[in-house]
Amino acid sequence: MQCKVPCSTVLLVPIDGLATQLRKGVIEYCVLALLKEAPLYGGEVIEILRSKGQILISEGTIYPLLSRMRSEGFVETEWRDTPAGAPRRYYRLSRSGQKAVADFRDEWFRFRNSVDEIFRDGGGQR
Amino acid sequence: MTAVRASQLVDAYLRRLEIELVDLPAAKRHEIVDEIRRHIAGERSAMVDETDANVMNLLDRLGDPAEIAAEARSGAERRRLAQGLRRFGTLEVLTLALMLLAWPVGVILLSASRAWTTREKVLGLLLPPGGYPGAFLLIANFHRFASMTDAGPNWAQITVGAVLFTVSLLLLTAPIGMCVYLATRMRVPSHQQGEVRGSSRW
Repeated sequence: MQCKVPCSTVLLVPIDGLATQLRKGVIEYCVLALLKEAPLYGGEVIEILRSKGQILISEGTIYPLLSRMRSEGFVETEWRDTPAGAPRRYYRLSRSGQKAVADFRDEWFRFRNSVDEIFRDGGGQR
Repeated sequence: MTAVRASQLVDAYLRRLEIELVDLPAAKRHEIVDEIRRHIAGERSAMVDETDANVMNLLDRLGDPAEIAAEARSGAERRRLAQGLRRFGTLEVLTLALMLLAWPVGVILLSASRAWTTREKVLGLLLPPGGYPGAFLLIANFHRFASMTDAGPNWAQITVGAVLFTVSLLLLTAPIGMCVYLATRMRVPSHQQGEVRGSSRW
């Protein structure tokens, strides 16, 4: 597509902010999905997300996010002693958290497939 | 290499975080700051070589305290909205119940509500006239119309009877039908819709 003005200015979400917008929509579910495997403490959540690429930019934002998910009942917490150092707060998935992960998973695959299909077909052209 | 200023840097970072979070409830603020303090302590103790640069990189990765505070506030905002939406639902259900049982009060609440468009409000005002008390009052007076045709031919009595029966059915079903219609059209006020759309589902 030819753009007389810079393309990013005509999109609803500017392209440079797109990754941030996408990240915001999925980060909570990614954290819940990680906790599905085993209870984790904040540092471990950050470490795993860091290893997955550009999912998390400001690592510190995980803590308010975990706190919120705890307030909203999606995760439960417990303190555990560590061999060296202070106790750590571990987060594990609650029943409603498990449901949220399952719902998101279904929704995500449907959404992703639709977008993949549109891009594979060259923007919907037959 | 040594970390000459590491502790000062960490203290300054945590102080800034405290300040950025000042508008949050104290318990929430303490929880977030405490978790980040523990995170920093854990990362520092795992550093093979703690230098100022390593600590600065650690704080950089954590991100600007303002960003952390923005994330915390977005959660508080979401909770506020969710509470607002729940209140909104209760009020509108009450409106619909009163439309049926205490029509004048229901009408006032309907007019003041932002959950329906003007067109829906006008339809709501017209169709259930008086709610069920009004409908029963009208039906109770139908015998007067019926008695007007007592002296007339048989076919006129049957016709009037059929019309009155149909009108009675309409009067009995219209109020509840209108309430069902209004319930399906109920929506979040537009200024809240944007905010909800801007946040995640929960």
